[in-house]
Amino acid sequence: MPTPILPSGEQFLTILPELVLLAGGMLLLVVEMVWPRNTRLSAVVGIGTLAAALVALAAPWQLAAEGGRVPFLLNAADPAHTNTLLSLSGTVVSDGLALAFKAILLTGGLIVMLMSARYGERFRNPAEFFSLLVFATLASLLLAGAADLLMIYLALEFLSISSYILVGYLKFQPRSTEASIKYFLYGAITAAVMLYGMSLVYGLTGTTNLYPTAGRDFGVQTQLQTLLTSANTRPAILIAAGLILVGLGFKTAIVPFHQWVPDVYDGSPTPVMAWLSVVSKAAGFAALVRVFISLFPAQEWVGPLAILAALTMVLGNLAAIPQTNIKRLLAYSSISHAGYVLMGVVAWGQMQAMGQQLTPWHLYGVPVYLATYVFMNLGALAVVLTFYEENRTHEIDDYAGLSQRSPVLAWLMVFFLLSLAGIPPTAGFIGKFLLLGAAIAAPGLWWLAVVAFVTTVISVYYYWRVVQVMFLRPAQRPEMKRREWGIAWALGLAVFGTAAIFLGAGGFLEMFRLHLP
Amino acid sequence: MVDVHYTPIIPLLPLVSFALFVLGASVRSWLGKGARLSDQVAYVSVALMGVSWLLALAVAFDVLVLRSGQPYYYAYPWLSVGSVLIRFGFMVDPMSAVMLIVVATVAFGVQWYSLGYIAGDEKQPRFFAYLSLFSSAMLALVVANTLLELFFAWEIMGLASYLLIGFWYEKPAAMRAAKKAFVVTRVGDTFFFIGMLWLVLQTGTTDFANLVLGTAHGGALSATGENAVITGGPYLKALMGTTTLGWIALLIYGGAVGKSAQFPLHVWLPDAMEGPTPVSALIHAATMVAAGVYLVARMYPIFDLAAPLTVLGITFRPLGLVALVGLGTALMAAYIAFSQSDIKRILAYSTISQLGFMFIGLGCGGTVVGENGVRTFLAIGFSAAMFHLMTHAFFKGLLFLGSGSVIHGTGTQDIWKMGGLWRHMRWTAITFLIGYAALAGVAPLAGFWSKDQILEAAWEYNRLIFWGALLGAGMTAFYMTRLWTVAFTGQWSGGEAAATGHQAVGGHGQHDHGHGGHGLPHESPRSMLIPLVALAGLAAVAGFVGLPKANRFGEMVKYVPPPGWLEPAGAVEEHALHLPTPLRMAQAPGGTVPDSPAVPHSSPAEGDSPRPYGAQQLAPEPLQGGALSFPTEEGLPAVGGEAHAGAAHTPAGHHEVDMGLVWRIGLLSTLAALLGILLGASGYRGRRFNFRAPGALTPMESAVYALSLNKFYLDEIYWAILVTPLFWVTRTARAVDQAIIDGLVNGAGLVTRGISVLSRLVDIWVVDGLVNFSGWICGRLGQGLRRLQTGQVQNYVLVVFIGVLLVIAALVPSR
Repeated sequence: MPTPILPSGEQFLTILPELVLLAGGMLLLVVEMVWPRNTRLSAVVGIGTLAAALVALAAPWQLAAEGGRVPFLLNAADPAHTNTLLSLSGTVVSDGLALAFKAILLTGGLIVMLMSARYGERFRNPAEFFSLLVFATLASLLLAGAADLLMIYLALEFLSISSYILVGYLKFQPRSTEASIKYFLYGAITAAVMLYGMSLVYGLTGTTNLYPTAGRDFGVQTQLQTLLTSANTRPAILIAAGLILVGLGFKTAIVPFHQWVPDVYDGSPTPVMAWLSVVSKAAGFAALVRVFISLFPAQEWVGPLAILAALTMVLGNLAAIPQTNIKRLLAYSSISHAGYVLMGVVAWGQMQAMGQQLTPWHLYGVPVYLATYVFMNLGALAVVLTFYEENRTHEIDDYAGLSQRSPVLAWLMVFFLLSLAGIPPTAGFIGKFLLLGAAIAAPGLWWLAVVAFVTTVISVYYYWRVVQVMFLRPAQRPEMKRREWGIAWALGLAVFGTAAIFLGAGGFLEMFRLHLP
Repeated sequence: MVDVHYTPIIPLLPLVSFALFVLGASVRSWLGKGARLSDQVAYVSVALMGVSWLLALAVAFDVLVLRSGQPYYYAYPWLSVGSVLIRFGFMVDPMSAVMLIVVATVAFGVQWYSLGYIAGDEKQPRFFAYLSLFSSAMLALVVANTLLELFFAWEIMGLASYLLIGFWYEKPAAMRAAKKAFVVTRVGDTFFFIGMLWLVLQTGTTDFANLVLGTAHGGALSATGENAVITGGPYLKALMGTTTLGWIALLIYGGAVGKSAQFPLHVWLPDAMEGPTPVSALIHAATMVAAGVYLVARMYPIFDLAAPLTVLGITFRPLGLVALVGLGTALMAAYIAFSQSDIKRILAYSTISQLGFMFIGLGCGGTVVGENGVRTFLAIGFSAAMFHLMTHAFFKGLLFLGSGSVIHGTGTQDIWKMGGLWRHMRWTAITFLIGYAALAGVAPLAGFWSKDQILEAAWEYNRLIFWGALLGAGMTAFYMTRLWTVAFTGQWSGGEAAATGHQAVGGHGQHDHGHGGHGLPHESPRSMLIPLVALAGLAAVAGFVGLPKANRFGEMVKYVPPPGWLEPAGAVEEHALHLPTPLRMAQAPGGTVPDSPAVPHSSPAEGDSPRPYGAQQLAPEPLQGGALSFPTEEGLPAVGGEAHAGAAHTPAGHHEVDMGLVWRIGLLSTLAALLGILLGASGYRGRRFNFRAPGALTPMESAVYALSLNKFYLDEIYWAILVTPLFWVTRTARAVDQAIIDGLVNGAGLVTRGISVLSRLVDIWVVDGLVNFSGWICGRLGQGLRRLQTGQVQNYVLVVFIGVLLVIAALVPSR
């Protein structure tokens, strides 16, 4: 009979980063009241909050390690670990996946916060904007660590509602408002669909706990296994899986739940777009992996999801080609990257479906890819933001001659675009290398790897067009002069991450093993 | 004493000058002084390249002479995924030592030459920055210790090449050429990448020490240099004689086809001549395009130890395909060179043709399985190809720099607008003559020796290829004589100003160099002539390291098959050592292979067994009979139960020189060269027959001429069958996201009753809600909402529902 090993006080340590974020977000609201419109102060508080949360992540990490070696993804049939890794009535889990994703999300949040340090000046109440970013990051952390369907839903809604406001934060710009409303409508409907799916699961099993918890020796997973064998309940479960996929597919922007992406990204403030394309997406994938790998049996869903992954890669990359606006280009590119990550999830599922031993290629491909994506995509968007702040344009043609106007910015952009295209020597290569390796090593998925290869080549074409404009077109405007510390730090972190993950790839992978002292 | 331990510094120094440029420019920009650096940066770049060159010579000397070919190896662990361990580091074996000499010498010469060539150009500092970036990547490629690292350098080279081809981006042609080069080579790179990944999954390593080098063979590393030779490394044992290896080889060869401009991916190289001429000399003649040859040579065991492949009923060995494609490319490019009138394009096609020769050499080496299943080994091809790579780098670099000097002096690239340069540009002409004679195969210049070795290899392998290659040699002599006769002899025909009525379709007289307004041609500045003279010296004497009787080059740079390979084909299986091949086994039913205890399996529950990321882990999985403790320093892995002492002394170790054959081939090739020269000289001097008037040709002859002039129409064909359809697909994909969705909405009612019901629900639920919502918010947000009403959220949501239905439809009936 499993009982929680953690004393109730220590249980709160597992959500220490979340608590830090909560406190910081509240503090920011106070700052807004006491020192209104003080962008610099509120930015410092926001950055400090995220940095503190990153440090606070050490607590659950250490706690998890006390139980010996931590499994990367908690398995319901692993009573020893369910005792130590679940907390707060089984709603929060801190296995390797949750911890790794929390680190990714907090890093992404920190870089976005740095990017928007100066951006906040244009708002009437900057601290509120920063506090929303903090709360949204908090929601994403909760989603990554959720071990209960209800918790997943609540975290997802928390995440969505914060995002709706953030997207529309430039409230005097019609585009921003329009994006916000589109996002809201789309998000509300998909969430409703997902909730319906969850209610089906609850109705069939009588529980929303993914894992067995105190007082109950079964979780949803074990129940579903039995129910799937019966012809009466089987369709209901599979329908539930499809419905739940809608909500998670919306967050992760996989085809056919991707259509909001270009409009919303284009209309939202650039830091918010950065946040959506990286943090929100990563959190969605954490939940997607959790639900699909450990809840629904893999052999049921790998086929359809593999097709969705292929569609996402193909559509995202092809639709990016004709774009003339850099934000829309990166929006479609973000869709295509969701396809690559989904390919990793499918490869993982395929190995489970075939009953094969999981290799690190399958386990770490998804989080490693998202970690690299945090750095490279935020780096590219930081360049876009810097460029916009001085030139007030997102048209690719206006990047002409950037190599003369600001060589550093141009070379940074090349570096990030190379990484997005998966060309060495950048982190993006490591991510693609792992995911493609995972797909090739999984039996019967070679066709998906081929699709990924081909679409990667296509992606080079449109990323490269930006490089071409920057380097091989004469400059139309004077040199760029604007400098600002927040973006400089954001760019520095992004370059560091993109280069360091490549150079120290071995050590980076070691981190995912949670090999703790 | 500078020795091999200085290897890492060689690629680092040019990288430093590149970094100096970027950082310097940003610091200046930060200080508000303008991002453009002063021209003095060029001297820093040349100086650093000079130091790098000296180091390269010292390292090569150390490896080739002091260490008698014993390779230098240093690596640190970089990435370990499961049982795949990738280390990063440096390896210098005799082959890379030779490449180091070639690349560093040409790079240094070209940088020096560029001081004069690019002087006064507004973008001069950037030019040197890009050149340095390229040199760094190319040197890194040469000293790479794994295929992966080679691939990285390969990609950066592609980037630098792109930037340099498009350097004069004011010319639309240059921009187009840059893009074309990048995209076309990228096609090859994709195959390369797939091949590499497959290789990693099969063998668990990309390390040259494990894959190709005899040193890691378990045999004692002696000081005789025998271990330096390339053989199939231990990790290939399990794959020897399989078709898998053959397919991997062909995929990797795909990368070489792109980079080394082999048919059908050669189309980018002639266009790349839009770049500045020093760039053409360095990247598109001497070094980068030869990287493909180097790649195949590096991976030679993979090509050689594969089983023949069968496609569409035709069975061929991978190397045979390499040779055939090489021959086809060589002949085709030489034929196109006949009719071109742009001096750089003629040289570009000549480069494509000569690269084809190198691939003929590689393809005509290796193992051939006879009728009775007996494997015979042809030794000469491998070293002949590398030998030709070296001599070609010198004389073709020389020719390109010479053509740059000519363009600098005359202001035109059209050979018909030149003439009589011999009188006006004496130094350029003399050095060009040496390069021309070396390329045409005149004894005893460098090209003669290396080309003869390739012919010898072809003779041993296949007589048809031999005669084809001999024809190619004659054609080479012909088009080079044409170039020489038209541009350098006779009278000055007035340059750009003279509107001669010649059929100058290919040459559009575009200025490679900035200044127009030429009167008589003038000799170039000394900074340009010194590298010319130096390279001319090398083009003259470099052949003497590979004389038939005293083939120093061939003794050092060679490939021998691993022991046991040359016995009858079936017998090899017994000899194959059993080696763990990590991921392949994970796929095998059951998931494990009994005798591979070292393969760690990880499971989600247990994770991996705790392995410190340290020294023990570095050792690759053991060979049969003992751990191969591969040290991170250049090493002596003299462990292992059965030492294959004398492994390298297998029958192929010593190539018996058949002097009679050497004489015959030398005579034949000289004859071919003489014939080509005579035809060219007499034809273009207008003595006996006159090739100068294409207008007066018979229809048959004009068709033949047009085929050459229009490069076999390949560009047009590619455009029609690849580019146009791709654009169509792109437009369609965009339409899918916009237009087709509207169509879906309209067609929704027709598809099924279910969808139509759903559609109505959506209408009631979403659209009505939307309208109400709109009314509420309308007053405040007028502008945004007007967009929204015409915006297509309804459609988006409908797509979601259709998507759900399809996903569920796919989920439910499964199983």
